[in-house]
Amino acid sequence: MEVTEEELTAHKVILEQGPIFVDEIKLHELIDYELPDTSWEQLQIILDSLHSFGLVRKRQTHDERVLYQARTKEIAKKLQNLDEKEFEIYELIENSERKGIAKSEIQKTTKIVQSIVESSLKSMQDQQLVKEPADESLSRLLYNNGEVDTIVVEALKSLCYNFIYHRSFPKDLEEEAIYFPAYTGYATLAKIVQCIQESKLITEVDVEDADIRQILDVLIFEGKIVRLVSGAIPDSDTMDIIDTSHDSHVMYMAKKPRAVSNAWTPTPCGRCPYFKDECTEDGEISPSNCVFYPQWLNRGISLINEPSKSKGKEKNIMDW
Amino acid sequence: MADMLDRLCCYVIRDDFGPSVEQVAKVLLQKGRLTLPIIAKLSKFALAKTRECLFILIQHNLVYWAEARESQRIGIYYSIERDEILTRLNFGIYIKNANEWVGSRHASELVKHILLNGKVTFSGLVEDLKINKKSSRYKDIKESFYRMIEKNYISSVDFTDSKSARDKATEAEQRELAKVTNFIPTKKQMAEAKARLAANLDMNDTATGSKRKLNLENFDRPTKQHKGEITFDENQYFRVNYEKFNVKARNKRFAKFVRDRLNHSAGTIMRYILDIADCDKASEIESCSVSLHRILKNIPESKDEVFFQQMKTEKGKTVTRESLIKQYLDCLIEDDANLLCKKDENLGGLYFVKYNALCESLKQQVFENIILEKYGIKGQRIIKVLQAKQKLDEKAVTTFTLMSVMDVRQKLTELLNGGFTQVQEVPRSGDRAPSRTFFFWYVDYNKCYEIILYNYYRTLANIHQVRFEQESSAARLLDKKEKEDALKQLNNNTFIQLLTENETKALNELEFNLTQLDTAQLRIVQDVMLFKDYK
Repeated sequence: MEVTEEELTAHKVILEQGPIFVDEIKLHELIDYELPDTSWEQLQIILDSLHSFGLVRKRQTHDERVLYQARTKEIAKKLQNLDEKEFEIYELIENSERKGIAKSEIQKTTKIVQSIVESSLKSMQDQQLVKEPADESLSRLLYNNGEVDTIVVEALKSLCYNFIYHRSFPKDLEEEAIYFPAYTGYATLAKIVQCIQESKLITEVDVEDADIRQILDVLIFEGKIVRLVSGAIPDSDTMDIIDTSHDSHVMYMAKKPRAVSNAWTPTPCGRCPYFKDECTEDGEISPSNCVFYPQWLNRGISLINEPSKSKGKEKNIMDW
Repeated sequence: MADMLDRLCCYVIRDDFGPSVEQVAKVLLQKGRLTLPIIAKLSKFALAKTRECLFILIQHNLVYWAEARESQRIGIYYSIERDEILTRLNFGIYIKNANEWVGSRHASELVKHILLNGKVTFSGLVEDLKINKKSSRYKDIKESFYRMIEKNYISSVDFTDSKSARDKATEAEQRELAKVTNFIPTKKQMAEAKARLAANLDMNDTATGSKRKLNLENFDRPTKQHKGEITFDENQYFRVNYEKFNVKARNKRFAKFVRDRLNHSAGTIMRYILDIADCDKASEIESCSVSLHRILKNIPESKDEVFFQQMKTEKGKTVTRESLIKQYLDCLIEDDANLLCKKDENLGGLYFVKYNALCESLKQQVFENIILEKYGIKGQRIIKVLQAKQKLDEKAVTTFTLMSVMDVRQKLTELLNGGFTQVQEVPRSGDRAPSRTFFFWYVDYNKCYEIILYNYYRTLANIHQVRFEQESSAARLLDKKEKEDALKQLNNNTFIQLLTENETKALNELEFNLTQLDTAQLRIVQDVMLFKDYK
């Protein structure tokens, strides 16, 4: 049995309504534009046929009205290949909407044995008809299909950092100047969120406080900013800060990008891939025949010989 | 680690005393306490030569000797101290900063001379430096020397100091036990004797502590009694007190840390506080308390302008010098790196420094910088998350760091290979099947510090080896240069030239390369001091 022209047109109309259930009376009106003079009975036949092909979903309301929602042709085609039990499970999952349904619940409702439920789910997962739900708690802003959206994260990070940085140091004094200890004008979470909303960087989803707090946490982990709590001086014995949950007291201050340096990584050994295992005192790879040290030493010499390139660095090479 | 340290120790000794001494030191490093004949046998030297080498090592405080009675005869055992050898790497730092730390312009010269000779008497030093006893220079040198004794930069050595600390402890124990019994002591008697000894040691420590405080008070007043009558035994041997210099180096590092963290002014203030609290022992975990008044008194007013420029003060409030400095102190206290602590609110408060906590913050910063340089910002993010949240599985790390699963997995494995992260397995079933096991990642900072220290030592050894290689490949040039210098001196003629233009250029390059290696070495040594000596 094939799908007729009329049925296809009707399917197209329902599909255009998007992922919502449409009342059959409204459908009748809509279809009337495309296929004029379709009677109520004819419509019922078309819808029944579509339903048997799996092209629409059907739902009955408590006041006896019937609602329809279209499935795409691709899904309908896959559904044709399912056996009865699989289809039953599929419908159950489909009807659970965004909430999803637990395996045990499926078993209980359908009364199908566990092994068959498992295998049906597996085969339907392979066909990408159903999937295990991603974590409910995942933020819609920072995650995309259950994966972290790194581009958004990086963009938000730099925006937040710049915002905080500009409020962390007084501008009218020396470059190194800092604010007095009890200063309260540093960036707060509310201000940062407001800035992001005003920047129109994110338009599709709402910017939530929790998301931004997570971004700020990452910045703290990176050592770029610190969290300050105004009014609450930490307990000197335990260093615990009392009442961090209250956001209004929490401020964020940027740190200068000048980090404490270490002496190891600037030397060739600190960056050498053979340092840990291969390089030995008199082995095949050893400091005596090291290729990196001469390169490094020569670079030092060329930096000294070309003072134009090494402006200011010259001193740095020999300074300890 | 022990192998590595032996290698480094040998290099240090070869660098300073040449291959023969190195050979003897190597035997002692590898085999432990030995008598002279055995050392000679193992090092394949004649007795006389071995004795000479040992003499050098003893003179430089590297080898200790102790007499041990074996039935009828007395054997002399020699042992070598690794830490003393490794401290030789710090000498550059001591000499460079001595003038500033001691507060006398001859200090560097004196320290250099003492370090070159291991231990010296003042009269010997005057003779070696060819100082006329009637010149004003003699007076200056003498005053510097006295100042160094008084401030504990050099300490006197006598006959008993040739024994290592361990030998001394054993002897004391024997003496203590002899008081109790002349038969084999019981376990209880042993424990009692040990407890008494430990108590005695503590007593000694506090005794020196109070003496130091006495000294401090003297220093605050104008030093009247110094003028004219500086008296100390000119034939007493002195050596450099490494610990005091290490503490000074640590304080310098602290001040720099504060400067990088806040700004120059805060760093300056920190420096003055550390100077006032002046401590002798690296093992002290807290400084003595310093009052606000004393801090204000010690900071010169010439710095005030910079202070004003680097602090944005509250609007509408008049700022005095006192309130400004107090604000800086509050900044130091509020910082979460434990820069400064406050004890008492009375009279403007008493301030003190928690040395160990501050060290910990500094170590953490250096460690995190290594991670940043080696594994990028993502590696650092993971390490910090693991530090803050303890044990986490891969998924949790992803949630906290907001990184993709792939990146997290890759970085965790890289860090694991470097030895910086560890995995804890928690099996869910008795068969310990990997599919039913949780894998939790965690980071142990103390373990990481050990790895870093090991890496530092290894790098130091490598740098030494590279330097030997550089020197030996240019041996011919160096010989020629030596000849040229000798001829110049002999004929008193500076125009003698044996080296061609290219050779001079090559020599210059060699010299520059060696300086570069030295620079890298001294930078590393400073970090080694942080991870090893500072508690």
